[in-house]
Amino acid sequence: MSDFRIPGRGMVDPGQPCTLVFDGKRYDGLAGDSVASALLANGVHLVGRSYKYHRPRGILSAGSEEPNALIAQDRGDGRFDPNSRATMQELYDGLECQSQNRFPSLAHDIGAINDLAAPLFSAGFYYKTFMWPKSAWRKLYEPVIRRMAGLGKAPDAPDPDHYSTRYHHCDVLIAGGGVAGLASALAAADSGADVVLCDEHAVWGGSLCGNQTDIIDGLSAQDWIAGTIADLQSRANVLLLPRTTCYAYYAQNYLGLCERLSDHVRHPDTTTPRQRLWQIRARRVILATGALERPLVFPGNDRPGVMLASAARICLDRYGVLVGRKIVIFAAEDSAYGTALELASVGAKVTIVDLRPETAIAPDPLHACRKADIPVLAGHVMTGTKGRLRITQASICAHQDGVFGPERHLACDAMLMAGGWTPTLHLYSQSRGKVVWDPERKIFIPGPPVQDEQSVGAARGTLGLQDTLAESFAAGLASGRAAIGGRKGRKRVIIATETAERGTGFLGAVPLPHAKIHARAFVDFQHDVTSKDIKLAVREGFHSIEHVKRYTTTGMATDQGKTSNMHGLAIAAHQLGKDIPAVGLTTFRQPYTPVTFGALVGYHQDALFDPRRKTPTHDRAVALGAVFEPVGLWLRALYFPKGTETRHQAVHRECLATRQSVGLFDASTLGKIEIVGPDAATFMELLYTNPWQKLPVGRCRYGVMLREDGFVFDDGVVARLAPNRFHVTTTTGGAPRVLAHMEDYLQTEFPHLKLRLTSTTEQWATLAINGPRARDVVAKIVDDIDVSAHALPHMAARCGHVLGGIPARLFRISFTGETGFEINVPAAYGAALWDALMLAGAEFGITPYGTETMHVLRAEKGYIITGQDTDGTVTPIDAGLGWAIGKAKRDFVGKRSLARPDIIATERRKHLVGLKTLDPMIVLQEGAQIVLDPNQPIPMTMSGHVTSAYHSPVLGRSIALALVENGHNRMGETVFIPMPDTVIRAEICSTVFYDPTGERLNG
Amino acid sequence: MADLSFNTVRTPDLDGFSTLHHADGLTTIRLADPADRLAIWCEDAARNDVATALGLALPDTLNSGTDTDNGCVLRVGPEEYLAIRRPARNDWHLLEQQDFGDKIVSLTDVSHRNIAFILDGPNAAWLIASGCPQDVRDPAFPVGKASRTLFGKAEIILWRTGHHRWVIEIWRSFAPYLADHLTAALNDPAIRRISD
Repeated sequence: MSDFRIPGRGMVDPGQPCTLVFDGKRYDGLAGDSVASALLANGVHLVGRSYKYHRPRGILSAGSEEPNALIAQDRGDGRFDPNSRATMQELYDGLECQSQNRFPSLAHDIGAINDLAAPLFSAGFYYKTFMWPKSAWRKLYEPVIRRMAGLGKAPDAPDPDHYSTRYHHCDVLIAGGGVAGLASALAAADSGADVVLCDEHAVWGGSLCGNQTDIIDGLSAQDWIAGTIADLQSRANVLLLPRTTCYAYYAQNYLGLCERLSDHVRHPDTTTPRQRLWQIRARRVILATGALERPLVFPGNDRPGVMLASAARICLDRYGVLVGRKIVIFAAEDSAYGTALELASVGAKVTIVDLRPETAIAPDPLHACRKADIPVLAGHVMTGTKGRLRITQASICAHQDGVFGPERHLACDAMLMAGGWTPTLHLYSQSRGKVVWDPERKIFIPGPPVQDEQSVGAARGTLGLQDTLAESFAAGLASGRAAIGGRKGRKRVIIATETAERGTGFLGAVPLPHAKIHARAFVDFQHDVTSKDIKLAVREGFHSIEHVKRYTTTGMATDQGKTSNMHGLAIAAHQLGKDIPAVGLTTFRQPYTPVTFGALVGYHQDALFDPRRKTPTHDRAVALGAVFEPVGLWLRALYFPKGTETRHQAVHRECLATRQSVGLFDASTLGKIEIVGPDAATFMELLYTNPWQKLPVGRCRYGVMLREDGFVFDDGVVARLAPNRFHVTTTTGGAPRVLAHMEDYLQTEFPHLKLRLTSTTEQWATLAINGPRARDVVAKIVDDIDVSAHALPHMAARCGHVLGGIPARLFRISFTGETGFEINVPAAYGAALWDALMLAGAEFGITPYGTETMHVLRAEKGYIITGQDTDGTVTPIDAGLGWAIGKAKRDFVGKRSLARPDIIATERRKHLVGLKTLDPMIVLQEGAQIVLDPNQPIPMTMSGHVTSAYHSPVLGRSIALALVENGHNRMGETVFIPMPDTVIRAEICSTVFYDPTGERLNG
Repeated sequence: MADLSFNTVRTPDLDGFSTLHHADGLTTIRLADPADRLAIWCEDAARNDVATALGLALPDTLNSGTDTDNGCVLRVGPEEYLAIRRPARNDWHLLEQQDFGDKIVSLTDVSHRNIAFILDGPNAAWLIASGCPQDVRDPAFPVGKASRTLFGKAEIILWRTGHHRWVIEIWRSFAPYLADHLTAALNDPAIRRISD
């Protein structure tokens, strides 16, 4: 048995020994231990090195507020977690972990040289020191600082674990499973409400977990808690979530909880989730988050072996571990006396050093301690500690009204600090509540509720057990009844007694004799901020607590200053000569404690990161060996390599085949919107630049859509199927935002118009057939549509049937400049249509082509792609689409903007033009900048950029589209494209490179 | 020439989809049979006209569905409905040609736009809560309620057709994502709480 384990105490299981390996050394622990308690049971206090000075640090707390005991845990197969709190990590047999921030070992850390150089590292050290020379910052200072700084190592392998997410709704959510939370849950459950009770620990009871001396309802606290949990478990309307941290309180009673499912299991089932994120919407919330004990700020308060009194109490009550044999308690309030009695009862030699004069100490606990032979030195202050890797001596002196007595020394192996209790206001503050200063108890407490919540117990500053129970029962019952509008439940009255009630404690740095005021007294253990640092920051002019925080970094580490913020604030306020509330409090932000990325991501990893949308003919493309590219959420075939073809070879072949015979293209991803209603044409007139009223039924038109600012937003071909029905197509990526844009205008600007919008993108599989033999192919598969050039001219639209009865919408349109058809069939028939077209086209060598060939073919014709050849600053006139503006139209979205002076001053705008490189084999880089004079001094004036550039197989040369300043008036001029190793010359030309008269299109 | 009985439910990625069972053996997820679907927009003044044309009553209450042997209609918005009919007769596109004069009516055949999953069993609601933020408890989501909402990153229509039976309507290309998401959720042991 370990040296410091007390048989018969705690809630650990002596029948289940567990081995812990810490920094390579084996320790014995028990099931139910935390890593911290197992180490303490073996007499190990030294667990880490501090962030800045690399000072040896021990275990401070027994909970999630722990600033020091951070460990790196490797569970194998990439399961690596830095910065786990040893106080929260439950022990399992064989658990392996390491200390952090030390090299080569915890006991001998070369970084500790920083500690000797501490006078150099004052507040703002980095800001003051690494300023010159400027060039050294990037190459020297920053890399070195980065290597030395930081807490723990980031994992370097993918996380193999699964995480789950759940949404949940309940009537009453109670955060915190201490006595206040349990009492609230009981009463709320009585009312019939659906109750969720969560606590970050594995066991219930909070600070009274395992407590055998305080009495509730005639039972020991431990027994009352066990009975209450059994009661709650038996109720169908209560969901108990242990190991679950309520880390965030958002708007409208929406809260985030993170449940740890397998972090305490040695061999977890890898098919089930490691953690589960609960997103809970609660009608009422009860915050029973308790209070955190404060350390005291005195010289040497960071030495291993110095810890919180409450931590020592929990170690004994919950884990059956004594934190030392010879313990000095430095107290500023009464609850430490109860702890002293408990520690003494199991054989520890305890001395109490109380900051307060004897008259300020509650008489009963004081008396009880003296009766138990516990020396109480009232009116004393701690002036220092000694011990290299563990405290061995405490130095004290008497003080009264600024007069200090001679220093005395007490030998010890542990020191407990009882500085008072800070209500845990994080969730209340996150709910947008404003905290209120209580000058009596010297604490911030919750102010009026902003959402449907209330705080109970220590979280609202209630000190006594009896009062806590009474208000918690009342709050639970009231919340439950209010949530469900019922009258069920009953008022509970319970008598509770405790050895010593909690008191108000002390804030700020303890008074010190003059000789000691330069010694380092730590405020923020994790970020190594001392009381001197805060005083210095104030002297240097940082008077707002927000500025002091950022200058000194107090409260900015992973513990977010849970144990330090109030002291830091009090020291700053004292230095400023202001009241604490006048200095203010920094904001509490989510999360309360760190949440793993895995839990936040939940199911949305790997294949579930985003939906991967596939078209109805996707598997046909796969069968042909297509290479795919993501376009928005869609996967589209990029090209169809044959044999060993490269991308370039495949695209070359696809382009020529389509120009020479016939190509097949999957256009299903294009957005489709059905616009239906008596005012459909009027709406179209308003949303597009083009005129639509006179477009005959059975005809298509290319439409351009602008934003209010006059810039091109989207484009696409629209077919009029009936006087009151339009089939609109959008770009693939633009489908959702075009529908949203239309809905927005319909509902806000034009609500009087009688029409409605329906997305039909997924109703149709759309295949495009292009090329001189396209008609020959299509003619073979239509049932009742005459596709002859005479009956179906370019831009005609027909509804009919294909493949012997499948309803189809057939449009004679082209994005290649060849004779083209787009056939829409209900989605599930897409694959059948593909097969039929491939069969019908076999004799013409029909060639499936992908998006890359589509891009080349359309660029040869100067057809733009919005988002590629436009960038949100291009007007239709800039893009050469002035012809698509209905000049006679009274209004359309963006019309007024087109009259703006800067838009009319067309020579100053960038225009879309064609570019031909002087060397026809050079393909420009898309995005490359264009200058008019390559000999101008650097930085050159950029006069435009390349938007599209390809090798054109049919032309046997490169082509490009570009936005060039005043480009429409520079036809024939030479421009220059500077590249890293050369300058490319190109001539400005028309955007139509191929078949400028459109003979092929209309053939 | 073409096979008109082609199974309109299937998309490439769902070819291998068979009924999923939760470990409890009581809760199943399966693909619904093919259906006719009609997206309906209609102002209140035209409700009777549309109901007559459709041969189905339109529900009065927002976010509710009528369910008859001839088909069902879900009211998913103040003026927005989704009609569903099984077995599919493949003729609702003809309704697009119906003239409703000056009234706001839009009928669009979307039979192939959606795919439906049916979740059945006492843990179905808990399964849905793995991806859907709505309150799926009684009485917040009673039998007969239908609502447009989210599942993970996909938009769905969630429809409760029985105490332990739910229908999820989703756009075709999002269906494999939904199937994968539900499969992943089946592995979460939280889905073991069996409601009454």
